Amino acid sequence: MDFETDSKVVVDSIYKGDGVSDFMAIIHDCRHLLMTNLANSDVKFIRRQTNNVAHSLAMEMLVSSYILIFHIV
Amino acid sequence: MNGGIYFSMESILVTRPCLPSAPNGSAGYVGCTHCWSFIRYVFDPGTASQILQTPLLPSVRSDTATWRYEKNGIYSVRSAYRDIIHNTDVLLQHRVPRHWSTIWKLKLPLKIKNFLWRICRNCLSTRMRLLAKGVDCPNICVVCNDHDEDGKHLFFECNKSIGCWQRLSLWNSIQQMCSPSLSCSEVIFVVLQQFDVPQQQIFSVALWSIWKHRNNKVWNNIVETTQQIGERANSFLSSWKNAQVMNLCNTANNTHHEITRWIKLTVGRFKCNVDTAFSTSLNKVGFGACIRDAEGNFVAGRTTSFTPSLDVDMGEATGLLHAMQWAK
Repeated sequence: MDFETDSKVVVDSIYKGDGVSDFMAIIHDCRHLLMTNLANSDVKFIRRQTNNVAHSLAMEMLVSSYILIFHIV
Repeated sequence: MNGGIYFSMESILVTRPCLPSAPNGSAGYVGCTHCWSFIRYVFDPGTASQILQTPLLPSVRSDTATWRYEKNGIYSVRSAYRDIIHNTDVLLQHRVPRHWSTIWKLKLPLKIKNFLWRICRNCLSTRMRLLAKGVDCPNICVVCNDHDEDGKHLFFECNKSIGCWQRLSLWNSIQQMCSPSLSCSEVIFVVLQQFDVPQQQIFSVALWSIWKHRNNKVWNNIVETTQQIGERANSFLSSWKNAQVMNLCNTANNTHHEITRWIKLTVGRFKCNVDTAFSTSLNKVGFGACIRDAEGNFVAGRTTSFTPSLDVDMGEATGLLHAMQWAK
């Protein structure tokens, strides 16, 4: 699985971030998953314009109050 | 959800930028009291024991003090400065609520923007301001010797300035916005909001040129015509613009356009796009994740949300973590 996010800060921190903070704690959790359950995975930076679908889903969540899971029917 | 704990810590310790965190699995500080004696030393006993009992996430690995306002947890003057400026009550009292970004976003040299800011913060040293600060000087306008010299008069009411505005063909529009009840800074903000970019530029530079003329009169006893004042504004602006064009040519050669399309993958792999949306009004962040196969076909999608809202980087990181936990 390749994860793609439009946050350069997050991608950079995953590969070379250092330090102890709330932010780095989350990054550590991500790294941990990448080393265990998602060992064959990668995190990549992409431009915001390329990330429209994920962005629309996230925006949708601001107005609706349920967790939405989509599957092919 | 992990994020909840980060925030309960923050709300308890909102005035304690130095957050401690303890080793994996330990429920506080037992066994490591010597590293943290400074907490008992600095805070009153109640607060200290609250800090020492802070619940910790299982994922916290090292027991160290961290600085909350930097992503890497290391203290920096910059982040402390930013926090003081934005969150200190004493400083908040001195804030003047204006859309200051209107000024800072102008396409103009910094000295002009700085100058506009000084007028609008009412700290330009006009004679009325000098008198208010106890400087012994006359109150009369240097240029027309007729009215009190404050910003409003000097820039918008003095005949010389009106002449300049007419020469620059801006007076008709300025006059309409220059109602007597508005202060000098209010007029400037209204004008800037109404004008298009070229008008904003010449308007701002002309204000600077009018002030320059006033100072020339005070210190060198030089009287300029409205034409000279207008020309100085125009030539300053055009030479600055020329310099900008040359800078642009130099950098344009170095940039190459990257493709901004979603790209398919090699066969057999999946791709998960992640994004986070923020709403300050709802105090909420929304996470979105979408999995597609190598052909670009939709496989699954998921959204979650979280309250309270996070800062951008925390939000993006949390969104990625959510997606990973979902995908694994």
